[in-house]
This record gives sequence, C-alpha cells and structure tokens, in this order.
Amino acid sequence: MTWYIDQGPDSDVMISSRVRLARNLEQVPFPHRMDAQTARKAADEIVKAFFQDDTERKRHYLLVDLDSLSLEDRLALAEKRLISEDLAKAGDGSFHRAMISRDESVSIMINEEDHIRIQSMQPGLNLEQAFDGAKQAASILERELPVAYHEKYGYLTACPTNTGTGMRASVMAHLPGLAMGGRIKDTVDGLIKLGFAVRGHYGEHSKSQGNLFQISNQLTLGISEEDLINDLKRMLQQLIEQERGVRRELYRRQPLLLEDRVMRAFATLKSARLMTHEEATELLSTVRLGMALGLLPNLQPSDVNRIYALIGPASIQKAHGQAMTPAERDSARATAVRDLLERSGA
Amino acid sequence: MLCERCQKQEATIHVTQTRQGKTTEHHFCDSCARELGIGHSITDYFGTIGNLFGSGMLGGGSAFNHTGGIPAFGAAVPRNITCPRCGQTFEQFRHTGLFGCSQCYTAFADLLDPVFRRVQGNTRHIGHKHEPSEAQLRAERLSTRLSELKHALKLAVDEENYEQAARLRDEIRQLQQAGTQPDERGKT
Repeated sequence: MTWYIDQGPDSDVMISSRVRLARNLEQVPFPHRMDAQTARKAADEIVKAFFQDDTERKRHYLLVDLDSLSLEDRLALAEKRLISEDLAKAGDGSFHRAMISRDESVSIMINEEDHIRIQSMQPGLNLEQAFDGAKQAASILERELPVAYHEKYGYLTACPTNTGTGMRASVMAHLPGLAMGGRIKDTVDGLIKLGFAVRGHYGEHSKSQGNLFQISNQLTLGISEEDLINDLKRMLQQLIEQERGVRRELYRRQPLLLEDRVMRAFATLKSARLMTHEEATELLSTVRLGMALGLLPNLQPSDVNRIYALIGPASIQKAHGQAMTPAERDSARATAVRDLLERSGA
Repeated sequence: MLCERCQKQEATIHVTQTRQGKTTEHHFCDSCARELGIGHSITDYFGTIGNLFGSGMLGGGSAFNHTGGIPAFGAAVPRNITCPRCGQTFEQFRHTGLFGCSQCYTAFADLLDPVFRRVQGNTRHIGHKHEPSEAQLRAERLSTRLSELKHALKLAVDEENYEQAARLRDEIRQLQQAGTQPDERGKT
C-alpha cells in the first residue's frame, strides 16, 4: 500500500491527506542558529531516540543521510513529498537527515526549520489516520527526548506560525471543475477568508499546476488538534460537493466538448514524444476528470497516480542516472508516460 | 505642520508607510519621535512592512514569509532584549520572524502576546500536552534538589554551621557535575 498511488475516501477530489507535527529539542538552538557540531549532536540524539534498540522499527524505517545525496536525489524525494523542498535545496553539510517508513507513509525530517518535523500521509481524505501516524512517531520521540514545551504556548517552534500544536493538516485537492467553471479564484479567496491556507502542489512557495491545491489549517495556537482537523474536514466536505456539482453541471451542459477535451488529453499522453512537466500535469488533470465522469473506464486512478509520481524533473533525472538537458528530460518523460499507459492496458 | 502626537511642536520627522497597498503618512516632532523610538530606524515603530496573512496564498505567497518580519506593535518596543541562552535579540526575531531557541519564548515573554494575537488570533495552547520525557523529569528532580540544597547551605552559613555548609557545598558540586555529564541521560 502506497499513499500516493492508492485510492482513499473521496479520492475523486481529494488525492491525499497529510498531517505534519513540528517538535524541537529544549536545550538546543533552533536549526537556523546551530553550528555544525550542535547540528550533528542534535541529529544523532534524535535518530538514537527514535530507533533505540528496536529491531522492528529499524526494519520498518530507513535512515537517509540527506547530506550524502545528490541534489537530484534530494529533489526526487521532495517530488514524492517525502521531504520538504526547502530541505532538499538546503545544501550539504548541515546534518540533515530523514527517517522514512518503508511504505513511505511516515517521514521524519531532522534539522529542517525545526529540529523534528514528522509528516504522515494517507490516500484520499483521511486526516484522522494521518494524524494517528504522526502522533505515534511523535510520542516515541517525546518519551525519549527533552522536547521544548511551554505551559502557555504549547510546543515551541522556530516560527510563531507553528507554535502551539505544531500541527499542519493538509490535503491535496484536485479541482478541475471549479477551475474550468471559472470559480477557482472565488473558492480560494473564500478558503483564505475562512482561515485556511491554499498553496500549489509542492507546498509553500509553489504555484498550482494541474489544478492541484494544497489546503491546510492556518492557525496552530488556541485550538486543539482534533478541532483543527474537524474544522478542515467539514470545510473540505463542502468543497468536495461543490467540485462534484460543478463537474456534473459542466458535463450536462456540454458533454461533447468535455469528452473531446478528455480524449485529446489522453491521446496526447499516449502519443507525445516530448512533454514538459507542466503539460503532463495539465493533461493528467483532464484525464483524472474524465475518469471521475466515467469517460475512461479502462484506466485506473492508480495508473494516473503512478505516472504522476514519476514525472517530476528530478525523478526523471534520477531514473536515468545522469545529467540531462531539459529537452532530454521532456523526451524521457514522454516515453515514461507512454510506457506506463501501455502497461496499464488502457 | 504640528506633531500628530503632542499637537504642540512643529513636526520634523515625516514617515510614509505602505501596507497592503494603502499608504499612510505620519508626522512627529523631534521629542515625540525620540520617545517613540523613531530615529534609528523607522521600522522600529511601525514594524517591518509585511502582513503575515495579507498576501494571497497562491502563486508564491506563503503563510509566513521569513523576510516579512513580525507586524507592527502599538507602542515603541525595547530593542535590547536578548535571549540569555542563544543570544538572539528581539529585534532579530522581528526581522527574521524566527525564534533562536526555546528559551527566547521566555526571554521575550512580555512582548509575545501581541505577536501571537496577530499571527494566531490567540495566545494560549489548548491542544495536546507534552508529557515530560524521562530526561526532563530527571533534570527537573535535579533542579529541585539543587534548590533545596542551596537553601539549606544558606541557612547553614547564616547559623555559622560551617561543617554542615561544607558538606552541602560538596553535595551541590557533585550534583552539578553529574547533571552536566553528557552520558548521564543514557545511563539509567
């Protein structure tokens, strides 16, 4: 089972759910003020506290020394959302580590903006289970480590936007209907007014591509973890209904136009020889919409997810194991997409 | 033009501030400007320009832009508060938007409520509580024992019971040394 390939609740609109918890060591400066020696000591302490002598946990989790990986390899991990883009780009020598579960559903980043960033992922809309995963990893670490906690302010983090619960609960929402219907701007503005954050696919600094939006709670102080998740979930359920309604309405009004668009996207994915990442994500978005409307009965959502996970620039480069020009990447990407679609039999 | 604060002296310092597309002007006399802490840097009074939640979250805007800083305060802010553990000043915190270490929260405590009210709309955590780890409990027990011993030492000195005082001092030294041993935490 892999969270970024499998289907989950409401997967037609909500691709995946993630809960992130930030924790810090009490006696150690936050990562942006650590020297190399302190960073190494903190990293060692966190890794030791997590694994201890638990052979089962050692089997289940992989320790990744990010400093020893190439930039491409780190970016490939970020494209799979197993580490943050900031951490991938942070460069060598800062004792960045990640402990990633073999099923890739839980990843613990060390020495990111905070000493510890735990993230737990699930397919579809399933924030509760994602929260459980993060909570479990946090409690192992909190049992062993002197974690920075304040009676009034809760969990102490480097940035005051994370103080309190240290929790960011988010979903990756696919909203092609609202986008085609010209309602995406109003929707996003509305979400922001309600106190949620909306970003592009790869998080903080990215634009939306392929109608994918990361929606998360904005506040972390003065509200409990459960209430944060429930508020987000209640809003998302309304959003899901809106998106489904618009999709149905678009199809009812102009079935031929929509079918044509879906089939053209599918045909391009099956035949193109050169494909940029942006074009691929746009086409996959249209194909996903087509699947949700029952227009591509032979294609499985997991096939699209599998393609999606492999077409990022760094992932393509990593698969080829050598430096590539953008044109070479576009060619390799088009080939990879064709191969995967062929194998899926659609 | 008269100073907008005292309405008595001639305004000599003029400040133009643009925030969220709106431009406002402020005019102060020398002495009011000094009292407000304006002079070294205008942003000391008005806060660094940038609103945590003002910019659109899409297309490059982030929930917290680290160059954006912490928003304005309603009064002049002391500039020289420094965290005793990591050495970060409150000014640096306002500029980068990042605390230097967990102790900064205590060092800047008197100034943080407005920050959290603005950033989070709240000043008190009500979520899950952290159960202290074994290491933290040990450190707490050590610190309690040390304060007890130091109190007893003071009494012994006051009573001129020097034999007792020497014994207590040795015990305190031993405990302090044990507390700073790097491997002590892993031993039990």
